[in-house]
Amino acid sequence: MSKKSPIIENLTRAVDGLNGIASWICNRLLELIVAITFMQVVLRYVFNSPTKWSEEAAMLCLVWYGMLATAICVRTHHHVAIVFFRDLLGETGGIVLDVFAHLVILGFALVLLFSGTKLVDLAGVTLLPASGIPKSLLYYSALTGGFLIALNALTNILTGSLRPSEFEDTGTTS
Amino acid sequence: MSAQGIAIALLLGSFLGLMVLRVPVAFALGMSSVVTAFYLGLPMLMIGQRMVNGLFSFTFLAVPFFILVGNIMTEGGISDRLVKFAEVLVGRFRGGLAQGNVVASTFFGGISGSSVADVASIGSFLIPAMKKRGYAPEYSVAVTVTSSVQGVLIPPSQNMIYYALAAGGLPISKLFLAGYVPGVLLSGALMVLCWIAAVRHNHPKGDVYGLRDSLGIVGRASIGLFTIVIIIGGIVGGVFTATESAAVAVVYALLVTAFVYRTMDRTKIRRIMAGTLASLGMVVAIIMTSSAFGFLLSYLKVPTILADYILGLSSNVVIILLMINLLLLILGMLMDMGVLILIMTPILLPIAVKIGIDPIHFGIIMILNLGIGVCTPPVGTSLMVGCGIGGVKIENTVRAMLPFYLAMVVVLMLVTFIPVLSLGLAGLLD
Amino acid sequence: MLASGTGLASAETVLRLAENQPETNPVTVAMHRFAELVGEYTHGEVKVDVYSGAQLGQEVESIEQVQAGIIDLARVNTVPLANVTPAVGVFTLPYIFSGSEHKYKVLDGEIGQKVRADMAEAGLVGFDFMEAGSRSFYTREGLPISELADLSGLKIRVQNSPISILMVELLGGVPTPMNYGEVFSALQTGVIDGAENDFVSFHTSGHYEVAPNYVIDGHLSPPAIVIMNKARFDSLPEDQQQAISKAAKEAAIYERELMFAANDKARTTVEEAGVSVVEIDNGPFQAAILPIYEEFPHLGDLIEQIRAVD
Ligand code: NA
Ligand code: NA
Repeated sequence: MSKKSPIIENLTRAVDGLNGIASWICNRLLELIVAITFMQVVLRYVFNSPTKWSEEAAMLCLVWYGMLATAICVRTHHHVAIVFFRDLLGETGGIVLDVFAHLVILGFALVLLFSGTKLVDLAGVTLLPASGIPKSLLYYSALTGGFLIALNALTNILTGSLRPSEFEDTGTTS
Repeated sequence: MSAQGIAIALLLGSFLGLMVLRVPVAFALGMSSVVTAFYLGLPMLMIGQRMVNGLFSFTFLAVPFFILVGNIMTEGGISDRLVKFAEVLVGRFRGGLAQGNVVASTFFGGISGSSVADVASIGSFLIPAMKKRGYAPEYSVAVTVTSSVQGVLIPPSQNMIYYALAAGGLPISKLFLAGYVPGVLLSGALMVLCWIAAVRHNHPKGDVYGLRDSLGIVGRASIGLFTIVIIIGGIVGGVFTATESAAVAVVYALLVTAFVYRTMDRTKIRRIMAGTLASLGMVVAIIMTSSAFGFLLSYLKVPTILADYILGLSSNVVIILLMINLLLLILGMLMDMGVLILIMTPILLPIAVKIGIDPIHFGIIMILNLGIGVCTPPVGTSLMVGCGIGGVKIENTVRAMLPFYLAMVVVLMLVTFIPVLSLGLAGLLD
Repeated sequence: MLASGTGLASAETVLRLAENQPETNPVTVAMHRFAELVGEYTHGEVKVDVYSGAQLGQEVESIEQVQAGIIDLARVNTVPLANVTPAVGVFTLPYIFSGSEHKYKVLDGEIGQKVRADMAEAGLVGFDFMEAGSRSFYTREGLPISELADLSGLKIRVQNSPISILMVELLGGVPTPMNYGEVFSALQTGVIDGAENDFVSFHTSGHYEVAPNYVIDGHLSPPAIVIMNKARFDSLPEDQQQAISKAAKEAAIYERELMFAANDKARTTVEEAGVSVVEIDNGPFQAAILPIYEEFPHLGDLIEQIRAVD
């Protein structure tokens, strides 16, 4: 892409702001999962009174983390893909496949979003048995994840950010 | 073709097609499920329902902890000290670090019971370390992914518990004991392979240290190594569950790096969180969409159809065993291990018993077999995670793994046709 | 011994039934009987496909899938079902039945009918209740229970449900919700002191190897039930509806016999393996958990009615 229109630039800034917030939430969720599980151990050994809700709460955090992280990894191209044929096709063909892949992600995300709204309805006022947390809170994650995945796929297409990751900046490599 | 046949072709065909066309694996699994659900007239909320509930499981709670511990160990310098420690042990040999990788997996795998968690934890510090020492990245990933298969064989193993339950009640203690010899056998085979590769490709020896230096390295490493002791000791000693011990290890590793090694700072913590987000996001996406995909495979009775087909072909024991192995290998390439154990055990175990196979022995065959599936494409979760961590392409890694696949299949054949390997130790309980 | 037909459905209507137990379990055997009977009574017009071993998901999910019409039928326990249709929760209360005779008088009688009718609100049809065992406590070596006081301070693994948790609390133990698959090694290593289940699960899970003290207090005896998507049921012609109900009733009675027999057999097996089985007067246990009943004011009437059945 040579020069981007101001609309696209503003969109990119807004979307990346949103992804920044999502990353921040993910990191807090991960800390919470560790804290809850660690606290459970302490409560059991030091106070001999484990909590009822900790396991469900930690699992709920993991699901939210999963949905948000899935979306963020779309924007940052961290999802693993087979690029063998894409690389065979050369420049133009490769870009066609990149756009196609993002359209598939977009389509799937819209189904997930729709599915999430239905699930929230279905869960209604049901509670998770041990913690008493509303079950709909679990399914709002699908709705939110679907929305953010769709937004990120769309942004990648509009800004031409399409190249599959070579896993260069995962932070896990030294 | 029947409606069911069309649906199966649609599910598998669209999945493979999308994946070849560069769609990320997670979304190829997801979109093929959407298309098939649409064809079958199933309500679309099934997609989100399976994704959320597939992840809403205590089993997976340990995965983020292991990825996190691996990242903390790497960033905080524990892994550097651990690598030095491994070199003191096996560094004098050519390809010492690859050997160390296998040895480490044999111990670590016994902790996690999950080969994916093993790749995530060991891989996070040993893959970078091997790359740094000049091993080919693909080879580093291949060694790590392959040696993780021991994790499901050497107890404790969640998957063995699934098997015992699905088999309608087998003594779990026996099943656990039965896994040790095949696990160590696999480990030995991989070490031989690493040695051959080391000689052929002139892999580096590590530095050789004198006694004084060695003691110093062991001393410095031991504080960090205690992270591993927490995990092993916590579970074996009955202090924690697997998930809890991993959470305690996260806290301990953080404290050690922050206050003892004094290597932890804000920047590193930010890198740890970002690295975890990238690896975990990718893993978790596959776990979620493969639950939707797996639901449809079950719904369409794909596993049962395949089993019927294979048994229609022969009545010879050796041939049936070979065919069962082949069937499990194929399914293991497509689906999650735990799900497959639960689905296939009731279908295959009665057949195995009918041709005279001990149920404990069959369990070990099945688990090793599906374990191999975890490191093969297209749905090899361990392979994906390993490639993610190593920053290498799947297709290149698969090439590097060919000799390892061969070694695993050889061990699988030994375990399949020499029952005493599995039943010897277990027999001590009678 | 292969699972039923992988071939094509020649019948007009195919109903998919989710069962979370493996093929060998008596309840799964009964579900295959149900499928057979449905085929017989509808002259092959309706075919029930049994998906055993939780291949379509765990119980909580199966209930949701039946509600949403992803699948048609599921065999589930009443404990998770109480989350979506509260009245059935009354059968999941501790010591609510005084014995199996009383239990089936209640379940097969007016009260059972009323509770089943209540499921329509959740979009479900419930068929006849089935036996799912009677749960009692078991503990590690050296921690036998011969009276209520022995439970005091013991870490007991319970199902992740508020009733189970509160019950163990009131009995003086420390309730420890834990994934079922982890219980074996937790017992072996002493992370927990005991757990609770019926004889069949006690045997099949292998827990008897590491927890050789079983005390029959029969605290929980929640029945199982086959549920169906109501819209799907209503869409079938009258005669098919009746055929399905009839098949479900006969399968339920068959299942009860199988379960009782399996229970006796499991008890003999674990006793032969060296497990000490103790029968005790559970009077003090019943008295201790009375506050639980007050936690469920909406079930008050039903509790009284059940108590009135003799
Ligand atoms: Na293990
Ligand atoms: Na390894």
